[in-house]
Amino acid sequence: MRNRYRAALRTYRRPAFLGVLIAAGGWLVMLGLMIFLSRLLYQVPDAPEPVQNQMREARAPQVREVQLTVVSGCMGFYSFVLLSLVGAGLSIHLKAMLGAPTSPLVPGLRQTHLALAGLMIAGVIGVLALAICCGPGLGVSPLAVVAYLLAMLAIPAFLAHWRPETLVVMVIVMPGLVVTRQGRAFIWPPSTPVTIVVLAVAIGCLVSVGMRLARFNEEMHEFHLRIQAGVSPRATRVLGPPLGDIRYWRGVGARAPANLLWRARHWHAAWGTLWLAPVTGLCFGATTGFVAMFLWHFSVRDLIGSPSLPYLAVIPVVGVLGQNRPLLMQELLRPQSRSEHVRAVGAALATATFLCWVSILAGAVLTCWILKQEDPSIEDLWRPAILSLSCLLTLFGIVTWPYRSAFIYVCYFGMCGVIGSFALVPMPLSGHGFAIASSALALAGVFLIRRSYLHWVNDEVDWNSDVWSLLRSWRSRSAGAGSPR
Amino acid sequence: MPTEGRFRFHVAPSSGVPIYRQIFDQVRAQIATGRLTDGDFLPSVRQVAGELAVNPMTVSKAYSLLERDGVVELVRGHGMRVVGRTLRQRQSADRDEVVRLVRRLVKRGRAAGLSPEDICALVNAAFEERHHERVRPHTQ
Amino acid sequence: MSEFVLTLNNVSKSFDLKSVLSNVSLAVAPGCVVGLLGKNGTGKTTLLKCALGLLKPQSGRIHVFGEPAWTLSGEAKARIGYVPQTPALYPWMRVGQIIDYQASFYPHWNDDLIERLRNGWGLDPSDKVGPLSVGQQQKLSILLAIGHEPDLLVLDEPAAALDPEARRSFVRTVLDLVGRGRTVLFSTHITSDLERIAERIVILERGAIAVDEDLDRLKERVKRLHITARTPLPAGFSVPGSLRLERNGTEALVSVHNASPEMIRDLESRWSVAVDVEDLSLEDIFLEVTRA
Repeated sequence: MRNRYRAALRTYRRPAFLGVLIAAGGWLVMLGLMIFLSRLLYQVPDAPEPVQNQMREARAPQVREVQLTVVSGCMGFYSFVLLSLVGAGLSIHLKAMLGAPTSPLVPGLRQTHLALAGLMIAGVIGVLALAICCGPGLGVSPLAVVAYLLAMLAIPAFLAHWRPETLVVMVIVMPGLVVTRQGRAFIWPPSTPVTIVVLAVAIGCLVSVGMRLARFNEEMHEFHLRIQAGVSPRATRVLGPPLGDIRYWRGVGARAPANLLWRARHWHAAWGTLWLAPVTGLCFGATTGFVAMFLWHFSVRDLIGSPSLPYLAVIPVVGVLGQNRPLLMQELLRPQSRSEHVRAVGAALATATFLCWVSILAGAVLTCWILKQEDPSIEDLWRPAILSLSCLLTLFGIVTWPYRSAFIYVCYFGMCGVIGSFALVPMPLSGHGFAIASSALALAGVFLIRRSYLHWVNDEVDWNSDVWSLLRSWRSRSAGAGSPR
Repeated sequence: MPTEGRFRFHVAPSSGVPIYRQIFDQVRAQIATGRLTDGDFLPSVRQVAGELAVNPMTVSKAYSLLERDGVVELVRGHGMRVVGRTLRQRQSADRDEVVRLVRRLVKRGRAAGLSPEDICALVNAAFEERHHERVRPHTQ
Repeated sequence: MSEFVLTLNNVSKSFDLKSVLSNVSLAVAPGCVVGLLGKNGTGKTTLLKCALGLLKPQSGRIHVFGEPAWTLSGEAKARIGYVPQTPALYPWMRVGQIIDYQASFYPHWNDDLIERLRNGWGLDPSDKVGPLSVGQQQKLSILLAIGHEPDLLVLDEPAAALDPEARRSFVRTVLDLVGRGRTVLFSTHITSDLERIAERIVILERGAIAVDEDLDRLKERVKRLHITARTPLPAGFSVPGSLRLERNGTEALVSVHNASPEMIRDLESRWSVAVDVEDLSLEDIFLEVTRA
């Protein structure tokens, strides 16, 4: 007899959740790295032993303070990332599972999935709350911890259910808010009324989503806002950009434009207006600048020297991920050579990415100028800009690589780890370290872009493959080559 | 002994004639031509429906109509059996068949613009031909 | 109410001011096979979805196995199978996994039947669902709907993407289910399948039921008459119950929905014409009825 709960649990084995697992792993690694680095900062130089002990004792409270700051900061941030991924992921998955046309007719499907999701939420919150409360003795009330953790899970779940687009904004705003709460004082006993309110909001979000899902049917207007619910190409358009730039279509007409840039624009017009990229960029840049200066009390120099700017290179690249690629195959039948078409598509994506990145920088700089009336000097700016550009090249190369699925998550979090490690140690923006880092990243980026271009042009790309099938085909090809004929 | 459905009947589902009617007509025609004789069992409804890929209800409708007309009878445990009929009954059934064909002939002839005399002449010519066909093999 | 498997009473459904179904009434008895025909956009899919409680009509009542369709109980759902127009499959799952997943929710699941069909249709359990062709996905959808041997099977264009061999196999599978007294309601464009399987035909036109009749009766009733006369037909020439009348001098082509031997003899004698009756296939009948 098959067990329905086991079957429902098995549906969670999907490539999208691989990212969540890697995120959890990645952040765990980063946490360890940060703790390790903090200890490294307070290394005692070689000295006779009594001197060393003395120095250690003298530094002990500072060390402890920094460690606790790091731990609570990271745990706060780490919990947020993990919980928001879990919350949003659960919500999206449930919507997909319960939103199929036949799902309302399968007896007990909704109850099973909701029960399983409830168990998972309880488990994750329970484990994290336990870890924080029993951890470095922060001395917070368990109720407050549970309330905040639940809120960090429930609000993304709520947003993912109703308006998946807002998740992107939330990823920027909420970390800032979470970290500022902890930035003020690392022990943050929130007052009881605030805790109750937060708990109420969290429970409200969860209950409302649960109730909607329990009766999920086609009449509900959020039914059609599913993410990858079925195999029809229509369903995957949800996160894609809106229908193209109509004015542009009217102007272009039937003839294929001759020039590469025009072709790139033409291609991009089918996928959404080009203005989305710089506008998004400005918003991100402005928000980062605002959060840094207003809430974190960074000075301009701190902002420019912080790892935020290179890290933000990721954001325009994530926008490229949302491009709907399967249709590229049909476009290849148009009357232009394959390499021309690939170049045009690549140029379109690269333009969007670059515009976005430039606007992020512009947004951050503008915010500094508006808020503090001081503009960063060119000397301050050019090094982080170059480092960020190199990161951008590498990330762009990764994202245009045909076999991206799980691989992109690994690289993304890998890069976060690298950049995050600069959080405690000031970025080596001077001298050899900077030159080496930038050129290495830039070369890697150029290499990846060239490889993926060649791959798109010369090889037949299998749209449904992922890294595992690629490895399998490599293995079989090498095995086949070795077998005697 | 019941034979298989697909050897016995053939149906064209998309013809304008309902399937049950096609089966009904075929049973009657086969009885008239002697392919089905007294005591023969018709293949079971299930068999026919399964082999011809048609709805069993259609086949059973045809069989019920045949039973109602007295052409077949239900034998418990065995299926539908062709009713034994006297020579006279058989002849009258055959005669009904011919009458129907003649009516159709007349209608088509009239539609073609032939007069009754023309049609009779054609019928006589056909008889002559048949007679010669009978005779010719002997002379070879 | 309780002796019918499915009843719709004066059901009206509209989407954003656009009326899709208007005053549709239908009753399906157990063991009946009903075929739903209609041009694209006439509301066939909407009708089937309303019938199963997936959509809520603006007015009217729908009952399945005696229960209101919108709030079906688990027991009622376990007796229903539904094959939607677009396959409801998850691209990342494997064939074996999705069958197990579906099966785990039903108290009764016929493993042998599914195994046999799956092998016959060439679906490998370790294949991923995403890369399957449309025809294979449709076959998989059908499998998922019949595994629990439902009493009511609702199919929305089930055979549209199947090759002729698969379609024949599918017809046989449905006939096998029908032979055990199950009710089938399906909408399709492929009239030849309907002619094999269906007992009753419902034709939807512009959101209302134009024809709801036994298939055999329909074929006997709707005919095309080829009329020839010696002299050109008079101006007032008309045939009662005609759907379409075309004439050209001494000839006329009339489609009627009430053909009978008496009616034809009457026509012949009244207008002194020769009438040749053409039997129409279901496809022709559909075209005549909906063109009128």
